Amino acid sequence: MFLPRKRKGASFLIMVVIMALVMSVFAISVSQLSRSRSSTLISDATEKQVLYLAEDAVNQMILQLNRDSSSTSISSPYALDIGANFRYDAAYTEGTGPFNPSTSSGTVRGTGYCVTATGTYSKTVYLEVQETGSGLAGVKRTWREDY
Amino acid sequence: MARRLLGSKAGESLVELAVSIAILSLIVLWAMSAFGAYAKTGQDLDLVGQAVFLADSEIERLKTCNLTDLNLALPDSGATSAAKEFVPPSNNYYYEYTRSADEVWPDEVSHKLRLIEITMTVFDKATGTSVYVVKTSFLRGGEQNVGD
Repeated sequence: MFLPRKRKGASFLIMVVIMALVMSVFAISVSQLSRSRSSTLISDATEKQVLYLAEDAVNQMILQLNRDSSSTSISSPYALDIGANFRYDAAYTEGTGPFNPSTSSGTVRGTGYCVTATGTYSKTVYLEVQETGSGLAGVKRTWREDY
Repeated sequence: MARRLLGSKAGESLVELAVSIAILSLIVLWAMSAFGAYAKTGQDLDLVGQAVFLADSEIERLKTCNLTDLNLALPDSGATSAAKEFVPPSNNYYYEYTRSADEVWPDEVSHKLRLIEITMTVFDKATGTSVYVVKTSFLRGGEQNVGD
């Protein structure tokens, strides 16, 4: 008489525990999914910001080369107005990679960075430059990204 | 005694039932809040994604402009524009440009290089808060684009 009662009570509790576990797993999954979408949101916006910073760096480098051809690199000030975690740098090399050596005067590389707690995301723009009547000018570009 | 008073005949008491309901309720509340957060994230994703797309389209349009058209589209050197509407107008966003002081070299010739550096800020119309900020520049030699 006592044993069947206890068994039924125990099975009821086991059922409650199983339901609680299933619901917990569901809640945890939804939380993870939410975090994952949040990081997607950040990376989409960051990708564009970093690319435009790289282009800005390239433009500044070309201007600098036309002012003073011996100054072949620049870097961003410590904090940019779009956020302290963003920065950029650029450099000019007479080497022509990744462009055709027979047409290039050199290559300007500009890189934008976003530094986060989990790492640094960057995008690099390469611009082939040629000597024109009024100085160096960009003629062809390519880019790559790094995580 | 307590089990008998609470009328348990099948092995489960009212106390067990109450505890079970409490546990399950807490878990359901947690699941619902997690789902609410997920829905909110999705909404934010859509909103910021739209802001990024609009800003990107505008900057790409500016890249194709010569110096005269850039000067028409942007505020004066060192100034911030008034609030501007996207083309076509967005129900959710407006934007502003801040143009840093142009860097010009050399000063004395007509075909000088001009670096126009801008910061574009996209605002949420509903709250007036900025949702996306992007910085870039345009390099023009005379009317020609000589940069990236």
